[in-house]
Amino acid sequence: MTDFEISALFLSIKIGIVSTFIILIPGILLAWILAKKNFIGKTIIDALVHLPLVIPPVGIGYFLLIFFGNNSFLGEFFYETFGINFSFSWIGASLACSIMSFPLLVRPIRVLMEAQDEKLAIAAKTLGSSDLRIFFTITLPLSYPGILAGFVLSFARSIGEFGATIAFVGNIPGETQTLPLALWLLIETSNNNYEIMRLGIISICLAFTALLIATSIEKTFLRRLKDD
Amino acid sequence: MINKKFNINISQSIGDSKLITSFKINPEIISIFGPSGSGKTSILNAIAGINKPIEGKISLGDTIFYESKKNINIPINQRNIGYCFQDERLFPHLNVIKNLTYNFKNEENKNLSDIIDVLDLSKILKRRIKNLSGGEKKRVALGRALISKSNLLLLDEPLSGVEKNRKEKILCYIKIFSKIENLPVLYVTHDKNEVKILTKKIFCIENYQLNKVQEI
Repeated sequence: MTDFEISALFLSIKIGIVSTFIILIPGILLAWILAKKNFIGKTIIDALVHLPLVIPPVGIGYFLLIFFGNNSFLGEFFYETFGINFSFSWIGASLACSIMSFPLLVRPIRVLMEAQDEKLAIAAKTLGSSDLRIFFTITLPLSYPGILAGFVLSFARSIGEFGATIAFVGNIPGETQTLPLALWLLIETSNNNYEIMRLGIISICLAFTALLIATSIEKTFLRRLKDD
Repeated sequence: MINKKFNINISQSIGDSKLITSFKINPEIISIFGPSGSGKTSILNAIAGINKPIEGKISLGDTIFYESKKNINIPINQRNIGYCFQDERLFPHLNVIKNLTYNFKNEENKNLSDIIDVLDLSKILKRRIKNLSGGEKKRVALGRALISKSNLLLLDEPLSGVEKNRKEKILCYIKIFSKIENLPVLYVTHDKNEVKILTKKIFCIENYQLNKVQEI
């Protein structure tokens, strides 16, 4: 593999992992709120969560540039407070991937939480459990398959993300140039079909390997749960 | 000794009708009879705080669980009640021992080994709930309620589906347990033989009213 390919491959993996972990806890909490709680404005929150599925990714990237760019209030706040610079950095690319893959993380968790029998929570309450304890001892363990499925889908979406990333952080080699962006660059500039084909195959291999690893982790994890 | 006199005087909706429940008991076992759909489980659910009555008062000793006039309604998890549900409601992701000890917080329970022994659960402690038979699930659910360190026991058909040869031993234990722990126990069943072993205090629901019956 060339340095160009290795750089894009590792950056894709790094951004995929970071972006998925960023949204894991907020995703689980939001799925729980949407599944178990009724409140005014729930429909709006629900629609907002799913918005990245229907908005053009470039549009999301543009809004991120407006709200988290160097000259924006949030952009300045994060830079001055935490030293985090979103624009034209891999952290910004992770943020873009997080937002794009968020609905794919929330949905399977929420579906599983909604399917849980409320009678189990009532039984736990008669045993003196608080809502918090019920969440950690009943709701969360029964949602593990959904969390795993959401994690895999979210990671897979992140490593294939293109539109929001290129609009928000550009296509900088070694910093924001993930596999899809590198592939796009080659298609635009190279006359070497072999080179393009190689990177395409690497992309497919990465996605396939990620799904294989995720599936085997999921199987092992669920088997342990069953044997426990 | 803590005052555990149980007092209930409530009305609640059962479909389009109103069920009146009114009695006072000492820490002792009473049995509740009635045809299906008459509201036996609804009474237990109201006591546990799962259903809210229309009006009235429920108290255990000095603790008021519910009083409509004073707008008191203690949450389920603060009532300190052991409830064996008719449909078991065991936690499917936990094994038998983890279900039994769900509300333990690292402390020892002196009754645990006795209850495991009486309910004959020692061989299935590590088994998962989906691998249990109907009778085994019933025994685990009863065990979980007995172990729960409660001040009041609600047992909703806890031995339906349990093998006949085990029933007598378990019923005798419930009787002793109630005495030793000074516990009021409300026992819902359709089986007259179970009642004969347990108690002479029997209540029957007729025409949406809970009446005391001396003998069956």
